[in-house]
Amino acid sequence: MDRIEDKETLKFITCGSVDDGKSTLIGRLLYDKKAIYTDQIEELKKATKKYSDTNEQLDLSLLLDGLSSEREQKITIDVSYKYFETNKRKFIIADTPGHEQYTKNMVTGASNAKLAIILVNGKKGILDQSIRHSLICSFLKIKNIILAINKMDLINYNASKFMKISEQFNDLVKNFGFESVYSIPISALYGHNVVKKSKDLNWFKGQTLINYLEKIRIKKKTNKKFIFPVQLVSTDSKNKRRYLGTIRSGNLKIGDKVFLMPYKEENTIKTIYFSNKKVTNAQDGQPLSLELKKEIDVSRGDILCSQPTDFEISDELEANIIWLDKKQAFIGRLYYIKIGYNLFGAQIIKINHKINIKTGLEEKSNTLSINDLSVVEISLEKKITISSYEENKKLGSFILIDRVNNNTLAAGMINKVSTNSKNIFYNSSTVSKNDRNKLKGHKSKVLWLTGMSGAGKSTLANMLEIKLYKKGIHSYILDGDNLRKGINKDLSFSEEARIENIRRVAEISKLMYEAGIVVIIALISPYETDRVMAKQLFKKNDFIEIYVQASLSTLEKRDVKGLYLKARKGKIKDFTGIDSPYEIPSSPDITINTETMSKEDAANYLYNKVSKILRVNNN
Amino acid sequence: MIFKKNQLNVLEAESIHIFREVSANAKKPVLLYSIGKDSSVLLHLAKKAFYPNKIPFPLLHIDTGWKFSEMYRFKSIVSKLYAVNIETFKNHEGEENNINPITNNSEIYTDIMKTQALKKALDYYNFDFSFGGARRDEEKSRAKERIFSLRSANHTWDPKQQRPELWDLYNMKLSEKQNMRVFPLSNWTELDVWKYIKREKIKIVSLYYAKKRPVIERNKMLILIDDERLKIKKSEKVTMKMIRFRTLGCYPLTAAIRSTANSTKKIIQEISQRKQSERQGRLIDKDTNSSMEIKKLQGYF
Repeated sequence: MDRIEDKETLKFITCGSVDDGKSTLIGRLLYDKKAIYTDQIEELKKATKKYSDTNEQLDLSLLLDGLSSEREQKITIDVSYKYFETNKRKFIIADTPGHEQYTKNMVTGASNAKLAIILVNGKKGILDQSIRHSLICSFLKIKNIILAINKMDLINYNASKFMKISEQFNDLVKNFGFESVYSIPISALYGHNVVKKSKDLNWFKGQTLINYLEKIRIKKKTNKKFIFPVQLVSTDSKNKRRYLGTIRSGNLKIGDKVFLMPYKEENTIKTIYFSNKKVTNAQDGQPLSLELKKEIDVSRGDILCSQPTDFEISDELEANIIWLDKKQAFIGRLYYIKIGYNLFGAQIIKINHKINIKTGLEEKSNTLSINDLSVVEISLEKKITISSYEENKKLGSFILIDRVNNNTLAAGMINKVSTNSKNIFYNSSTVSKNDRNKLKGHKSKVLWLTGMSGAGKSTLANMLEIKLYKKGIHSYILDGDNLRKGINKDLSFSEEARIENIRRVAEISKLMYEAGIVVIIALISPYETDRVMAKQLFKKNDFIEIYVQASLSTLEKRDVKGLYLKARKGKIKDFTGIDSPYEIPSSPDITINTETMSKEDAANYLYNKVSKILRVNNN
Repeated sequence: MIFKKNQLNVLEAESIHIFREVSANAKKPVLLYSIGKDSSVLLHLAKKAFYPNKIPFPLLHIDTGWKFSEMYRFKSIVSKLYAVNIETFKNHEGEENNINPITNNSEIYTDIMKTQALKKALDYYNFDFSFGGARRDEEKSRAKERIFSLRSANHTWDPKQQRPELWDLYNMKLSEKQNMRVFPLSNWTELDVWKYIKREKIKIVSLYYAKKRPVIERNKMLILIDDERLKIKKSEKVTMKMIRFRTLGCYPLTAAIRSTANSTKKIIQEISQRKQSERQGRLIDKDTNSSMEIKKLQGYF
């Protein structure tokens, strides 16, 4: 019994192009290893009749394709996880989709794998998708590869064809950093060389797939140095603080000296809890609850370690990223990054290059699209301890998250601290914003008017400013059109340029806000993400998003500047509302509908709302 | 003590990590406790995850009123054993309309008393993260699900729009009214669960252990006679048989299996050799083709 418990688990994926037989291979592996229950076989028989056009009694791929939409279309859409044990090992298999469109799901399966079976259809040879998946494995540092050349039955079990594909593959991936590539000819459909040897392939002297999987030794990185990222800080009823987390490297015993990163504060381990008892020592991989001698201020995301000099501390890093979302990536757009147990803002500040799958060459680019593999520089909202992915997968990986719809956008693997990183220090002024506010007698706020062209942003801004001026409130209008004649005259109306436009306006607003002024911004600012980026620069409640609303049909009727007509005729490109989108604010602080309100009413309404938060007496 | 990275230790560490992630992030998490063996393992892991502190979230049992009587007894024992309070929620509307697994068909019964009840409970308490004991190896559509399964405002699952889930960096961000089901046992197999129950000496409902019990045979299924609510037909005969349950659900929708395995050790041997799947005794899985997927789309676990 205990011998069985000590089994090691091997997590692997199957990948490769559509129709290379990934699901069939795993179905075959499970079937021939008798890891399928009789009632599941009965279900499979029925499903084969219903969904499959095969002459075989069982379509083994249906064991994996568990969603009805997958069965109907005969494709794999999302990862399927299968589990089985032999006498030697326990296996966790992630069967991943081959379609380019579902690459994000392939990456999901691959991120936790130690080995990848890359399937190639013997008849079709190596395809773009085979290369893409190999490259993803390389990015994720999966070092052990099995090249399974499938459908040998369709090419008469021809040894030279097998050799040719194998050589071609090895040549293509020679710089991918793989430690082992095992080429094996198989037929998943008939089970040749999967679990059983095959007479038709008797020229192949290597091991069967399952034998290889059972025996392969996966090299492990062993690092003696203690690293413990703090996942959770908890206090009990007696106000005793404990730090929960899992050892990610090295080991620990009571009395050990540790350092809290990134602050490099020294401390000592007082108590170690593991499972449901106190222990005196602990090793890599153990989830623990720790007490320290000095109860200090520790937050989720900080790291306890034995060697503070091992880490670089920075807020800029270089990383490989795989872009996974339909929304394009832009330089300067603000995202969330989850890195270790930290979650905060981050921006891509430079795209060093992306990789062209077809040519294998590096290309320059200013944006990233779905499935792009690239090397980028990222700037973080705050400084943290940086480890490379090569050194430690748990510490060196991250994801990027959209700030509006919360989707996971990218998988990232840190290469190193960014070499771009410059040593700039902030000079803080001795007169604070509060001092300036006191002097002026009102607070400084940022009033951000967003809405389509002609909705009335500038008109409202001007009317509001006059009212504020009369009450002795210092304000200034930043108008999108005016700024584009000066500081932003180098910018076009593409999505990229609009992001930069807003970044500049937001930064200028920030300076004026710090100077104690009420800043009124009249700017189309069509993208929610960019408004969020601007908002992010200010204290909560100091950035007021005001949506100036009017329907497109009304705007086209008004068309004061004649721009809508020009846009309709195609004389202006990227015009918001016509051939460029306007994303309606999801939760604006104030909404003003200029269709239902007169100018005067709208200005009064806005003034009344705003004057309250500026703490000005109305009389 | 030497910590080996063997299969149970790795799984345990993974589950504990998941519990703690939710605790660090959720506003109002809950553990959905179903009294079965997987729930028992879940509770045991939750305790370990926060020891020596208390489990920082409540337990909730969605009751149909049709669990085996022994399960109800066990529930109060567990509550004392782990010093936790187990809240109970019932779909009273269903109860008032006398929705039951005997006269109603199992599809309607499961929908109203389990799926709808669960959704009502989550809305009533406003839970944002709920832990469940579902495992990927149970069923083919569950094999497709993420550990963090994003649900819409009305708790439905969209298998075609699942977020990528990379390494153990879970994206726990929710948009308005979305909520998350979390499955810490995703990567555990039935065998892992039993090996862990043995290793950790976890208490489970005794119906899992073989014993002579009164049963009838109906539609080739062995149905335990638990109380007088199940009417025995004239053609049926109650006999005493050595049986046990491989999974526990509602009475009488869960069938027993013939077995002599009366200890965890024997159960592990039995499962290693058994030819039928774990959920074979679950009648609700067979309502229609892909019936688990359909239930999941509607908001079932």
